[in-house]
Amino acid sequence: MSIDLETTTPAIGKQKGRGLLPTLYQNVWRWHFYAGIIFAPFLIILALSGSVYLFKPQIEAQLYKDMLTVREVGTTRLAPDQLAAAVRTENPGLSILSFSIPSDAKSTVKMSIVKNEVPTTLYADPYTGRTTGTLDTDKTFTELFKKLHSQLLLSGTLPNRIVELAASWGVVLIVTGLYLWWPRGKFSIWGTILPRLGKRGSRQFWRDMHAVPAFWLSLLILTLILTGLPWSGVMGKGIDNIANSTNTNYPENAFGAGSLESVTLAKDVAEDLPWATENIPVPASAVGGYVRLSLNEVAAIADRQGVIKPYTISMPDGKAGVYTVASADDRPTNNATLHIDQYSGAVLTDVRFADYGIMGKVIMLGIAFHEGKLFGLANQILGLIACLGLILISAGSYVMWRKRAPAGKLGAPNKPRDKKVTIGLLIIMGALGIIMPLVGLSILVVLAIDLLVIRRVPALKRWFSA
Amino acid sequence: MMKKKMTLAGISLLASASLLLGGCQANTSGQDDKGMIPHLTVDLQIPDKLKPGEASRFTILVEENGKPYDEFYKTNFQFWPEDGSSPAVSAEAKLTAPGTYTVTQPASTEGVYRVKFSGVSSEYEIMPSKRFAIGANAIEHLAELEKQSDAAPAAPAAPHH
Repeated sequence: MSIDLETTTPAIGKQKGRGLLPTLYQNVWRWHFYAGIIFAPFLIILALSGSVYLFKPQIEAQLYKDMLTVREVGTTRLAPDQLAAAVRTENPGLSILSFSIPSDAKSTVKMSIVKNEVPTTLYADPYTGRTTGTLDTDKTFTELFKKLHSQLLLSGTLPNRIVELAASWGVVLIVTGLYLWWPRGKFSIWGTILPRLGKRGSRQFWRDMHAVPAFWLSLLILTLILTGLPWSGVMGKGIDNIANSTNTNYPENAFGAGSLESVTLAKDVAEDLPWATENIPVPASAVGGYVRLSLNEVAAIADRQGVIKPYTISMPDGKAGVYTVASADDRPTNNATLHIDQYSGAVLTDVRFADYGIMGKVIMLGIAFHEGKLFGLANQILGLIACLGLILISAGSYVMWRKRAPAGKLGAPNKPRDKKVTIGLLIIMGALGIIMPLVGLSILVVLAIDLLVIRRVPALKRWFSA
Repeated sequence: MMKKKMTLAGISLLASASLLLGGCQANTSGQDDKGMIPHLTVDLQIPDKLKPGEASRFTILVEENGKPYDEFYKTNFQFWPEDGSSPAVSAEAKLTAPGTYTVTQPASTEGVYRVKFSGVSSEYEIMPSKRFAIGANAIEHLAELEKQSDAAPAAPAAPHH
């Protein structure tokens, strides 16, 4: 198979023939090609679902307007205890698990409740005490896109791992893509930083629609992928472990719940926690025949401790449980996680953004950026541009591939003969595989298939240009 | 000479790296061996036998990490009937021993009551409360209340004056 590199990449024609650089180019191109063919569909799904989920606040404010917004802003708000009592009167048999204090005067109050053993979310008007509605937060419109984004609408661990695998290979695609894009020979603006739009529909046109936007958006897309990885199952856990072992995550003595009497983690008993404090151990309240504090008292403590609204008060879990006040506000710098003795009101733990280590801070800022919350609408628009760009880049690559692929063959770049370069690149890929374990695992699987199947079946060998 | 310079440079580099890393680490200052920040523990003591009309002594022992704490600038005890039938009565707590605050309060008529201690200092704020009963019937009622409160949500705050 002959590959016309000159049409696909400006100035690459001069590197035709034998030599280190053309061989390296050919190898990188093969990795980029196969990774793109396999993972571009997943990246399109992630970009599409992400672009919708970015605008969750605006979408939900419209879809559930009557539930999330009060009809009329009154002069005085009911205190938390009074509002909780009104809700219980209106909905007998209900127990409240958490109570959120909003910052916006127009917002209703969100409560996590259990009614008839079914957990759900209830909203109430803080001026009238009226329940405005209940919502299964797992089944909202935007939650559908969140599930698509994080687990492809499927349940179990495997879909989440596939998403992580695709995102990790997204990093490889960006790195290899930038190498392929890098101008070689005589520099020309056209085809490098500006697309050549003259021959519409040509391979050159689609190559530029793929490579040029990819160059411009590479840093943004890379940032979005990297800021999403803390949520992932394998790499996310690794990031958390590194942050904990270097004491750069959140303040926790001895960095292990095993050193504490309690092994309950904050995420097991509290809601709306910042990512950085999800795994902090929960202390115990001192039991001794005392009466539990009221919601009003806990809210007053939170206010006096300078916790910025909105925040959520999670109820104590059992007699030795604690109240947890958590603020996972859009601005990470407002993050707060307080555990309060349910009887004495003593603040047992108090973790703020300023207390996080460097990794905790960077990850929290990254998560806010990933979700479009760090700097408002501009952040959302930036995220949208990256998502739409990623869809264009991925779709463009498919058109480009279909235009180039000869009949009866995959159209993959030929395998270079220089084994030294191939092995050298494999070592680099292996290093990436160590950083991103699922990438490493998938490389091993691909190598095994290549050695055991593709190379032994001539038809497959031809089809894959192996 | 060169070797000495290299050693000095190495030490300086290590020291700078440690300082930089220290600045990047999570703030764990002031935490105890259980990862908790300094906080107060309390022991609110209610007289064993309370009779209507008789003065009774209510005491609270306050400790900070096992040592008596008496840095409050504001302390008081509040008493009110559990059913909220009358407003809360407030009495200033007196420091009678290190970390020990007391108040002597005449017991009212039979019934279930609540006592709440409020202590505010520049560092801390605590507000523990307990129920107590005056009279035989009230003791039974209190036992019932305690049973119910095990499953109950937040307790109501003191009634307003």
